[in-house]
Amino acid sequence: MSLEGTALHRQEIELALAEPVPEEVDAGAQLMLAIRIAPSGLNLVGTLFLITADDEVRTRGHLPDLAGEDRDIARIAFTAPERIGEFALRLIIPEHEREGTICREASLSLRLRTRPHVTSLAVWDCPAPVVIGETFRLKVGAQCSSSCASLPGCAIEIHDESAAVLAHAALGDTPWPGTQALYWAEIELAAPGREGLHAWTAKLAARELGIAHSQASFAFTVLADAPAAHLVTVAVVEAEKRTPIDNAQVRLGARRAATDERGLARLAVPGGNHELSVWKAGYEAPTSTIEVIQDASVAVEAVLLPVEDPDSYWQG
Amino acid sequence: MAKDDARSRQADTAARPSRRDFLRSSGAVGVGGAAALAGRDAAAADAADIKWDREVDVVVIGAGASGLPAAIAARDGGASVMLLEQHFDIGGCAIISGGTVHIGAGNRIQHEKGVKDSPDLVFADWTRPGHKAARYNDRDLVRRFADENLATFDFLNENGVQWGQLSGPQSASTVPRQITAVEWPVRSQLVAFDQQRNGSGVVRPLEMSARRKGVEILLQHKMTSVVREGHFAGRVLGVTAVQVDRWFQPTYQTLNVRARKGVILATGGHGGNVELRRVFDPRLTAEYQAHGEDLAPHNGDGEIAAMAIGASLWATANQTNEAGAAINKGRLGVKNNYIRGRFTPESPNFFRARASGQVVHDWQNVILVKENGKRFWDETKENYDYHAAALAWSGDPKKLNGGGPIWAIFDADAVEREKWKTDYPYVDRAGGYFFTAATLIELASQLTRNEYQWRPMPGAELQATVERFNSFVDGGKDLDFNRPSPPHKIAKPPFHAAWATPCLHDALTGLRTNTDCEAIDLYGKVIPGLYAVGESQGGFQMHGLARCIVFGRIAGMHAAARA
Repeated sequence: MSLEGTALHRQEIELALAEPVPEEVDAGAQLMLAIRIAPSGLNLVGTLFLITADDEVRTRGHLPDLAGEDRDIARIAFTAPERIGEFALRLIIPEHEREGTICREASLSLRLRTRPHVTSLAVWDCPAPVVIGETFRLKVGAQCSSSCASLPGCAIEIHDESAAVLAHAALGDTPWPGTQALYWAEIELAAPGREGLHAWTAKLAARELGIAHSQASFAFTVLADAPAAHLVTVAVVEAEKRTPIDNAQVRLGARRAATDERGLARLAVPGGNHELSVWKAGYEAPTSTIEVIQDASVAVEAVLLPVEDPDSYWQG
Repeated sequence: MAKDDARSRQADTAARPSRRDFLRSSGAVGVGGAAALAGRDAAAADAADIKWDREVDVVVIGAGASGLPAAIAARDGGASVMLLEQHFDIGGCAIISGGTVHIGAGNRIQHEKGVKDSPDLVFADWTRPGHKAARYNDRDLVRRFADENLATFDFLNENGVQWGQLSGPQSASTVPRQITAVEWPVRSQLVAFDQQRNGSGVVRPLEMSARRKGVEILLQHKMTSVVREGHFAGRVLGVTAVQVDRWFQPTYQTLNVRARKGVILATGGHGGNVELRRVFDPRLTAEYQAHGEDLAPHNGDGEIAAMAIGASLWATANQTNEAGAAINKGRLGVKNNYIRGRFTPESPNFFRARASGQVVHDWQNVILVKENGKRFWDETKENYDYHAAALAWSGDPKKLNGGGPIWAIFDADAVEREKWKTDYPYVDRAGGYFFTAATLIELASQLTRNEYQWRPMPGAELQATVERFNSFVDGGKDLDFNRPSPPHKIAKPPFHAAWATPCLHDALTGLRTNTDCEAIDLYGKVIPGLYAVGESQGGFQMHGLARCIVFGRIAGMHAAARA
């Protein structure tokens, strides 16, 4: 309907951003635009508005109750384009009549860039060491910067040093406890065939996703060891009083264990020379190398470090 | 810092003034700067312009370990005394100290334990060239200190302090001479709990005694300038002061107090003043917090007011010779993170502290990274080499001084092993000092919410750091920093980042004084009527309460005896 030529009052409306909008957002991100409408005090509830991106209408809605101290701010939800690129956005309130007044068309232009969602990975619960000839399991989780729901079902791949795919699994649809949207999978793998450290990588096959996602990978090591042949009992005692030290971290070759309340750690290891180290906060223990040819017991003396008064560190 | 004002304001809660705002309003603008409150420029303060609201014999500024004894000693000497304190309670940082007083010389407790000591031995210990905490001390000051040890011990006894154990020897002392006060028994009058904060057992008895003897204590009053007769000349006449609110912000109710005999500055040192502390160590940019500064802002206002009328600094090597307790590794997840400065919700200071922080029992449970996401040292160590690495350049060409925030990075398993709680009131998430995320890259992206993380931490860098560290766990050796056989990977989500930036501790230098604690100017002349004591006094590097109490008492006695 044309309003030209009538005797109605004409009202100019000006639109401005009440809060800044990021120049770059995740593709498909949900934004809340805060638009200040001048003059304040206009009753525009229910008025049609449009948002165009590169002249294509992306959102069509009706203005909500205005907020703010002067009741002049409209909060409008807007979904950014899912395509990656730079867009000229335009918010338009078309000319309309309201309560005997013609409100002239008002518009606001802004630019917006969209970026791929950032995905990132975590790898955990990888046993150390893994035993040659056996299989083991680890967990891989993937997170999207927009917490978008497209990750469940995506493939996780495990690559070895030569980029060969060793295994793959699909992300589940239940986030890992303590996280909002870390979707994860448990993957079974065969242990490497030779002893030592192996540099592997977990990768998310992001190409499967609808919205563009960045590539994500996480490098981790797999420590492979020969099957155990002997049981070594390590007793950790305080050097002066010969009292047992519990919860000391003992490493013998590739194997680790913590001491119990009697100061004992039991480690099943292959035969051969192994480095023996002990860690307990507040103590110092020497590192040594022992040759294991049968089941054996070893004692390690840890020296209690002087308790420093934190109120007077390092005097002298 | 390379950070814009808008971001800084955004990071501060509405109720909480930023350090920047505080410095602006307090006029603490650095050496030679003037207290500019209420339009008055202290450097040009003209005594003729001052309308004195009150007149007493002695004005003491600061009700801590040196101000309280100064006030009592002046009152004992027959002077009328006014004690101004900017906090809403007395005690300064001493009330959250361990309550250990390093005085010996053959006191009763030493006798009971069979320890032989003498003033001569105290002097010899604390001036010996073979010990870095003694080497740079002013021997005249140490001599006076040594000679006043026994009298100070008697003074504390007479004013109600009760003693527990004798310990040591520590630092430059060669015999046990550290005596620890018994904690004040009234729990509602404590400030910090459950950390052997026996300093209450020193300052509360002194407060009671001071009040009983007639010292007038004005709380929430901040000294803004010291008034001297002429420009760098004449005697000191008094102080200008202003009432402050509980955030130490001025209310613009001013108070000018004439001091017939003297003004004693007992303001606690300069650690909380970024510009002044950088006079001694340019590395100490704004990200470093000073122990207790939220409780008792020892921001150099005594030093600045004194220098504005001509006073000089003294024995500044003590601040940086890496012998004293000048810096501390601290607790996790709270801004003001001194290891023993823990405030729990029942503390009257908790509204400023906002969290109590978490103590690390085993540093093998975390890695420490700089603002750039990179490790920098063996995390299990704490010494000046560690701190030098923490304060070293982190690679931003726009910020060359200071090392930037240090973050402890750890995983869900570490939380389990340490039995940490990762929510209020243990860590300060709302303030931007503790973060949690599903992945390391997401974690890094959050850190700019912290007011001192001036640029984003590259997530890929943090992930690469952890990937490499985890390979050291499998390999059994830390190839970068030789941390002893790291036993635990950082692997299981969620991941956490907790503020672990070193916390500054003692001020080990300050104003030049003679052995009566009278301030000395740059020409070696006494500034009549001005005294400096405690951590605002230079010349003697000794950690803790002893030099504060000994010299506070000396200043009070001397001021009261002035004509």
